[in-house]
Amino acid sequence: MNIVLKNQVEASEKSAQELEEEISHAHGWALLCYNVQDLSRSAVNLLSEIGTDVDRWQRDLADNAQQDAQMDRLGSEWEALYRRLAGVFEKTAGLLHRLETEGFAIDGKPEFFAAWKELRGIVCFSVDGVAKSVEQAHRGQTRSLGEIELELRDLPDN
Amino acid sequence: MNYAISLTIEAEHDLARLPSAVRRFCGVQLRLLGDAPTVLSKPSRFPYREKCQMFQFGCLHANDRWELNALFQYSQDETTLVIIGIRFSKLPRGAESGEGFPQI
Repeated sequence: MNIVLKNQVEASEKSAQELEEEISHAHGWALLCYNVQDLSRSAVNLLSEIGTDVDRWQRDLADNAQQDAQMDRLGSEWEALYRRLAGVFEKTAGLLHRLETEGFAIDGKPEFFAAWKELRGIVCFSVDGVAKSVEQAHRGQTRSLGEIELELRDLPDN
Repeated sequence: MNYAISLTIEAEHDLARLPSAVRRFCGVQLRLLGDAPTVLSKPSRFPYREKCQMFQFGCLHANDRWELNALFQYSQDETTLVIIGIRFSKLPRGAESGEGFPQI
């Protein structure tokens, strides 16, 4: 795994934490806005960079038909890094909201929320769960949507 | 080209965990996905060794915004979309990016 990315995520975590503390007794709003904007851009860029590395890793795995435990383990490391980045996104969203309630507009907000949505679509799954499910697909342990819907039709809500 | 939709056992359990109204909505959306997967989905950067596609959709139900994520792969014969998992985030109404979600 790219150690630079790991360090960048760690720096973003620290920055988000510091800004959270700073905003609670804020005086220099303009500087805060600038820093939060910078943090949100960094978070978006980091997501893109991690995604590029994951793409490369998947291509490498596809090219090497042989199972490589060390290469495979990287999946869990990416997963952990995505989860840490999700924490940064969550804190940054809170900071953006706070600044908006103070009447400030932040550039790059749509890009930030689009990236956060994409990230939520990643961290809601686990590597182990997906691996299990893909194995089921490979073994043909699947059923049609229609068949499942018929069966679930009368299932009561919890 | 229309694709059939099938679910793994794991994805089936995911579907069963949804409230019935959201489950029905999910079924409708998955069929729409089968009609136009290239339009409605994008490559996921989920860190699993095999590439998957991501389909994100959502609805407003009760007092919440339901954001649903379906991870899938194309079957080897390219006739079926195999749903690997369906997960959701339930967020309060008014949260970001819930615009355009239908009320169910």
